[in-house]
Amino acid sequence: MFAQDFAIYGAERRGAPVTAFVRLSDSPILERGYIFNPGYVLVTEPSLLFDPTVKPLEGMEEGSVLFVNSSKEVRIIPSRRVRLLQRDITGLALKHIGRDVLSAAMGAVACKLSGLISIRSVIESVEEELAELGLEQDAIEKNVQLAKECYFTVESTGLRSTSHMPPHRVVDVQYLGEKGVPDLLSTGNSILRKTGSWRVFTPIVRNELCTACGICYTSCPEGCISLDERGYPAIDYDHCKGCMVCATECPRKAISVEREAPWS
Amino acid sequence: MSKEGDKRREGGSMVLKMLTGSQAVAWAARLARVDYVPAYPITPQTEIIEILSDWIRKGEMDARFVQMESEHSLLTAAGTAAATGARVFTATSSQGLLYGFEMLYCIAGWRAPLVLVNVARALAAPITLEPDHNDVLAARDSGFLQFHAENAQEALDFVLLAYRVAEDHRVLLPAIVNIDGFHLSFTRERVELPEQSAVDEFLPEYVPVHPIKASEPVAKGIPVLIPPLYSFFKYQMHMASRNALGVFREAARAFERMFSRAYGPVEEYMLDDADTVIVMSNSFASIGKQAVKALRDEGNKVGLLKIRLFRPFPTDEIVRALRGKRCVVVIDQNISVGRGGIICPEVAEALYHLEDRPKVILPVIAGLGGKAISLEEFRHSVRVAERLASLRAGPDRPLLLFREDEEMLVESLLKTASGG
Repeated sequence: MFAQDFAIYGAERRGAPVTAFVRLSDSPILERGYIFNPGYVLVTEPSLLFDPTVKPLEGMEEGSVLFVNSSKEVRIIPSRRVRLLQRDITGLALKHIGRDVLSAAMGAVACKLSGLISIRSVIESVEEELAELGLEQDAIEKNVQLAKECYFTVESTGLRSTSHMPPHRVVDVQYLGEKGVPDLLSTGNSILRKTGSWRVFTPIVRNELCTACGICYTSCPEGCISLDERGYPAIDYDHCKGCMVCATECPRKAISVEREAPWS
Repeated sequence: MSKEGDKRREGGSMVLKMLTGSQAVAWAARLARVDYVPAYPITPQTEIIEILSDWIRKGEMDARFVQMESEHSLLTAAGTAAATGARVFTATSSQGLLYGFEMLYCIAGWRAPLVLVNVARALAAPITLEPDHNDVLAARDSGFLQFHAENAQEALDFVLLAYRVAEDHRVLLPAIVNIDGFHLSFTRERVELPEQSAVDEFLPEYVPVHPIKASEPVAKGIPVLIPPLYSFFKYQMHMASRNALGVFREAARAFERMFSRAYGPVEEYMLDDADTVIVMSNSFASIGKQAVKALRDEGNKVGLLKIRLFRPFPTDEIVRALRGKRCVVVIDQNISVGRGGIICPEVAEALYHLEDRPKVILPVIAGLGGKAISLEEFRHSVRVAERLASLRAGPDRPLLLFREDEEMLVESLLKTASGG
């Protein structure tokens, strides 16, 4: 069997969405780069499903499999007849590791779904890759336990071969003069980028404990907290990345930390 | 997956591993037993020097690693170290290569062989991370030999071949091995990792010509204020590079005997009965081969010619592969602004004087900044070339491969950018 993997990363920080691709084939793989018609899509966070820059559902065809890591039922199903599976992988990661680290877990899910890779290979790979990254033996063992539980929590769906991207007409690019230069006139538009999708944990202000001291407002590194006319904080969940600096700094512990609040 | 592919072949002359392009070239530097690695990080090259610094720190690799303060210093250190007789490896990318650019000509002029891996990334502005070849092709005239790799196996093998050819006393020129950022550098695939003993046999210790030693001073790259001298030395470099063609073929034969992988300066893919040939280089040639297979399934007699060795330019191999074909489609993943693709005119010139030259040589620009090339776009370029051939006409301009859905995306982003 032949395999190939490929990741797109560059300006990301810890917690930012990244995209990675895997190809499996009986014959040498001549494709490279992005996969435009995936047989499987695994999404680590339901808020990413409809992210306009990630677009994980684009190119999914009838019969392809969508796996979503979510603790709640994913209600919005794409219009195409895609097979939807979901499990609370973050919950398992919290159980085994105590943190929302998902690589070994989602890798194990993908291996099981394919029906081609044994649990032994999964364990060996997790051990080898994490050792190369310099993780302690204890942390590696926790990841192995997590990978094992994830592997056995899903059923194999069998591998489906995929085709090329759908045809689009080749066009003549027109010369646009001064409109064709890479100028950004609408500055300050980063507000359009909803970084709330990076969040795994959500800070929630409990007004009954809050004294309106404003420390959370000054400590938020993203400027996502504003104060209302009475001085109480309001969190902009479209852009809160869930770093929890506010919850850590709050002297009254009036900010609770919750997983996937209804608006996340 | 790594373990499943990690099996030793019977006879034990190599190990199968899953490696990224970055890991593959780092392994090649290690197997080549390089002495010195001056480095400066830049996306997407950083993984290579991270791996090497880690091995050197742990004592798994016996070399000196120095982080420099810029690519200009990096190339200066690399070239001067090579002039002392050290085997030198370094890597950079894109803006980094251009920042050190003047030193490329100096190193080549000193006739100091070393290997520089360029991880291709399109040049700013506008700034991006994914590959095209304007960075590596900017160095086209510098005197560096240029090897362009399609996959991780070629990346590893070309570094070993590059040392052997560059250090040969009939050549004595530095070499660039190009690997595409992301599409090769961060793509993990199956690689046969050769045994150290076999590499040692293929690539013996570097024997420098007049190395600079503290006890025996030598002046390199001396000032020649007499124009005929400059002209003489420069043309010597050119002849050294042309010599590298034969030395490469010889080295490739030795490589094949040792490692059972054959490399010509070009690769011919489904060319035998082809009417139309797509010419490509680097990692996107994989996608081109996939398209050739698909177009053949549709009944088109299409083949692909991949240029592996770009400097020296393998004129004879290109002529042999393309003479008598009806159409040639040269896909340039680069653009000489105001002219078109860089490689197409070189291919056209190689074919010009032949009686049986192709009826059409279609210049195509595609994959700039890593833009994907779909089957539809390959099919379109082949059709345009065949239509021109039947009309007995030539192209009036290069064909840009760009799709309707991409145009719509650009329109919507331009609208956002203009505040509309």
